[in-house]
Amino acid sequence: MTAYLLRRILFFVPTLLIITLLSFIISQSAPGDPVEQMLSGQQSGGEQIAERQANEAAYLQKRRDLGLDLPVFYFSIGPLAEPDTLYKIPKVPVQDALRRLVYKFGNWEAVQRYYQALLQLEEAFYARASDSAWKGTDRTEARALLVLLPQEKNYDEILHKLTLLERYLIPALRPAYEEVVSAAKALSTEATPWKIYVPTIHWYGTQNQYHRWLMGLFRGDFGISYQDKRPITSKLGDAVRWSIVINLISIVLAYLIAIPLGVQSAVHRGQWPDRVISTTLFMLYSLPTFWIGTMAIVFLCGGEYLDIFPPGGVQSTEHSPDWPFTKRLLDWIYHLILPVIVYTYGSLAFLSRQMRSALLEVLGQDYIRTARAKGLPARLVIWKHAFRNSLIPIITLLASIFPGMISGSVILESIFSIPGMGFLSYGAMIARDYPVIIAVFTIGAVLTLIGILVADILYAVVDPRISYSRR
Amino acid sequence: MSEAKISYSPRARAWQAFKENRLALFALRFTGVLVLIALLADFLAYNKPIVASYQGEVIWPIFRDYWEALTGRPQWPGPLRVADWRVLPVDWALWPPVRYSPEELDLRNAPAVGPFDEQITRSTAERHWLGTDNLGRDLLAGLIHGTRISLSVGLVSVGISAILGILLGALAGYFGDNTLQVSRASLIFGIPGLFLGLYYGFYLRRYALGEALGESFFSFLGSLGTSLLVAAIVTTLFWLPSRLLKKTPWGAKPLYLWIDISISRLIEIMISLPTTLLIFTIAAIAKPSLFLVMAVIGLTSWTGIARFMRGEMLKVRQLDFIQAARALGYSDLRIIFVHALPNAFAPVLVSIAFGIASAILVESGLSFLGIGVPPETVTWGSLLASARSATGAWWLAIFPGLAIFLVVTLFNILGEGIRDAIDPKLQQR
Repeated sequence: MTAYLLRRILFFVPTLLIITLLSFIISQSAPGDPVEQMLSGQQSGGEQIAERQANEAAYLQKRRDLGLDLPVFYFSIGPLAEPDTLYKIPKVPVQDALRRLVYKFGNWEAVQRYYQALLQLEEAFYARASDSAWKGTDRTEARALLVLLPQEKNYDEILHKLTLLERYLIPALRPAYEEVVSAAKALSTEATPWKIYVPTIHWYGTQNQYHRWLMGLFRGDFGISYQDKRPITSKLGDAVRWSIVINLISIVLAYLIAIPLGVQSAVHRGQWPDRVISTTLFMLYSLPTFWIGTMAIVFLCGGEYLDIFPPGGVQSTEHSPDWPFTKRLLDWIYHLILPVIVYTYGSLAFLSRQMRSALLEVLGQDYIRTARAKGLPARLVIWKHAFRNSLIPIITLLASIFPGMISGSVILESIFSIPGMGFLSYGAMIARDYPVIIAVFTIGAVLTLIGILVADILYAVVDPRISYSRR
Repeated sequence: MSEAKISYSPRARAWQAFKENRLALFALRFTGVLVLIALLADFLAYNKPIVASYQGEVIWPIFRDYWEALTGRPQWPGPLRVADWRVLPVDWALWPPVRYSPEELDLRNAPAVGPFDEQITRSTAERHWLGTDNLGRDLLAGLIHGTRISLSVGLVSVGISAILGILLGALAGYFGDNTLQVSRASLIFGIPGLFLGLYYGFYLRRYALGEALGESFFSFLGSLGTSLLVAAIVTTLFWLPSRLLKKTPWGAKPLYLWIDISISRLIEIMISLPTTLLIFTIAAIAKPSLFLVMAVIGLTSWTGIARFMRGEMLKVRQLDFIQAARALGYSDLRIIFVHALPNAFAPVLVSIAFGIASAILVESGLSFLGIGVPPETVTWGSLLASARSATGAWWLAIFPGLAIFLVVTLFNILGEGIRDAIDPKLQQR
């Protein structure tokens, strides 16, 4: 038993690591540049050199603060052509574009020359941004192209944009421009495709983004939200509490109702109580919770129809900590009745159906027949002999209900405006606040893992027959 | 019934038992009707007639639109392209029962006009039978075309998970940990070869694959095929030298491949992931696309089928006819696919039916939240969501949810029906 638990906990660790890796990979594939998201609203799009330099410095500073100037992972695998320092280039889209160029032409030196020439042209442009030689909208056009060019990953499109740019430039910028064009042309003439096909591994050590993020997780630091620039941990604090409270209440309720229902159904198998219970539960089982939730909000919560329940939230607007506790409790209960009902019925149906079949399975066993044969009263046979054993599979179901409830929270909490993790996550999904989405996923996954672990341990405790020794 | 007609094959018996279950049979027929609705959605709700005579010419507008979509060449003369067929002075016309397309905005009947409310229409035939949503889109047309989306999400995603689950489960169950042997030489060259194959086939081509995924389903399939081909060729090339090493006694030593353990561990890890939350997260971060939703649902929900299949295979491989096939010297692949799989397939059907129900539920949940599915696509979930912004629109709260409920129930009944039909314990009763 101890050996089993140890093994089970040992297995917990790699699974946890895999989950963090998965979260990290998903967060890496989020579009956009995190640094710019963080700075959004703080930067002025100035053309003046001083302003530009200030912006640039703020960008680099933020990037260092967020640890985004570090390599992504402990090691990187890539073609020989890809330098192990590509991660140092600021601006994610630029990095991405340059990497694609390297993958296409296999010559990093040429790509680097092209990028440097582009930077010099940019610098020259901003040095002469207020030159009187600019005509009409030429300057704005040129500026737009210059912003887009470093992010352009398609080679033909680069050449096309460069020919477009020529029309708008003033003569003073011509040498820098020629430099860029020749560097861009050199990309294809000096291509070294063989370098793409030689794989290499670079080792970076623990100074990397994943390691930093993981260590942050263990400290309970999930990073900063894009929306309000607050640490995610403090945003999540209250939210997790509401989610757990509601989920726990519903799980307990579901078990309390499901077990007697399942038992009745199994005992009266084939008779009318069983048929009524089974049919009802089957319907409940297929009823989408978000449909029932929506109908409840539309019909019961003070729209154009009935006004029985509050239209959402967990407490009324005038709710205050100064109220006497009973009043506060009543207020919460009034707000939570509807959500808890909707939360409960789905897992309730699932649970009692399982309870029914588990008890039926046990009732068919020989020792039950023996117990009946020796004249024990039916009550005793069912509750003392059969019921206990049929509980075992029901307990492990906790492991499969729990994750469902966590993800179900995303929909239900957004319907009932409950400020829990799901609601937070939904808001983040709408606002494209990726760090929050990732944080909720990670926490949800860890809670799921813990739920499964607890269920397994319970299973081992309840059923002494299970030795869990190796095959 | 005559002697000859009685069949004792398990499949025939299961089908017999299934047919006796009236509810399940009804569910099967109803599913057939839904498939028809999905296939013929354009002929049930469209803003052009099926066939009409206009200025003496007989025109088949829906087919012409199909032809245009197929060939990519414009098929309509200028004025007819933008014309509203409902006001065109046609000589005669055969219309679909609903004269609106699902995305079409009827601004005169917006926002959210109910089925019994007063509607501003030219004729009774143009009424919105189930009302409109807050943008003035016809609810019935949305429901009809939503059938197509829901069913295709269910079928494609479960198709993906069934292929994955059946393959992995069958491999794990059939081979176990001590059946499949390879020489040490093959392993030494094969494993690095496999990594190299993956590197060239997938890692180097990741940008190309990503772009193909964004383009269309078929270009993604093509790109995926290229990747697989490259990977296979590279792996084989790298593995070839092992033939030499195999000639030495050290290299020829046979080793067991731990297929069952590795696949079972993979399943265990997948089960401990909160899949729905994972699907939500990926859908929220990636670019909205229906195919992506299908793929993600499919890739995360194969574990149930794989476990079923593994268990069945463990049973089947002990049976006499498999032993006989082995004794006849059939290859493992032939035994798995021709002899073992068909006999282990029945329980998987149960998982498939339940899987379709839950995939449809997940997709409608996603589109209810407005993530993952492109915003202009009308789905049951998005129609239900519109009930939240249109206060008092009972028809928006009831009908789309009813559609989801119906389909989910149907597939659950089907699953139960198949399970009861193939359960030998029940048959003995």
